[in-house]
Amino acid sequence: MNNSEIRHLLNKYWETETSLEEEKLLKQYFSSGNVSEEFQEYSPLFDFYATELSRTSELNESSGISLLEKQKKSNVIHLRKAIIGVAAAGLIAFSVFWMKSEVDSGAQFANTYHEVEDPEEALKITKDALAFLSINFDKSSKKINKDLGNIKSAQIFK
Amino acid sequence: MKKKFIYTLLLAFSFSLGNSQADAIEKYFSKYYDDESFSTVYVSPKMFQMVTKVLGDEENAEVKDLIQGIKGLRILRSETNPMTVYKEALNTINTREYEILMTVRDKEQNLQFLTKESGDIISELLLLAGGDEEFIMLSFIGNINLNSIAKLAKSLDIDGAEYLEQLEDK
Repeated sequence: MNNSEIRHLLNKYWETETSLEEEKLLKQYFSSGNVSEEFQEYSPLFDFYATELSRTSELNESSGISLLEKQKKSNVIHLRKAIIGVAAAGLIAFSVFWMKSEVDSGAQFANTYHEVEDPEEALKITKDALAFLSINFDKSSKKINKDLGNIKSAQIFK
Repeated sequence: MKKKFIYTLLLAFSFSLGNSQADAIEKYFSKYYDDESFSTVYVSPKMFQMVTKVLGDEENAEVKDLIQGIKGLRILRSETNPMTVYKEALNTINTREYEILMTVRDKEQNLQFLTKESGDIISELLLLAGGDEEFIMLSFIGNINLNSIAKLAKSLDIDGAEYLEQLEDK
């Protein structure tokens, strides 16, 4: 590469019109160690780029993988925490809903659900219920006895 | 971590199950409580304590005896599709927990008596009745003496029909 070419490229570089390829050529030229007097003043700038570039790549190669792994691990921890958090929130919501429905159940069925709160009424209802129970109990046992009687007489006739 | 969480969940559930230990109607038929076509009447154990206090001396001896043993009463009735409800109810009740005492089928109505026993003592007596017009389910909680029930029937024999008519008016 001769000086006029470099000059042309540098001019383009200052105008920020160089392509990536051309920038690469410039960097190569300045890192070659064979820099013409004319462009010596720009050398530190390109040296700086070169050292910075090598530093980042160094970082990527040596500690990059372990950094990546660390990030993965912390992601797993976060996910687990999130799951537990969501589950706990769900449980709390569920139990609040449960308690609420327990509290509501008394008033909710006002139309068809009746809890007796007067002892006299309770006695009356209980007596009616007992009467209903015992009459049906008696009727049923009589019917069963009658049926049993039929079975017995059927056996006698055999 | 996960295991602990599951245990906590199980523990919470077992507590809530323990709290909901109840009679058969509460257990199997509470879904009907907000159904317009069903009516439920409940007399709580606390109310029964008060009932025993208002029991007069003139009361039938058998009635007195029985009421003193009863700790809770729940009645469920419906006039909508009574036979369907009756059959559904019979299928719903866990027969491992409730033993069938008597089943009677006749033209007017079907009856089933079930008992839940703890030891030799009946702790819950269920009566399910299903006919063309009405489904009734009664659940008596407490110490129920079947002999007293049979005796009560005999003492009511004379005005028994009247009693039934009264019940049907409601």
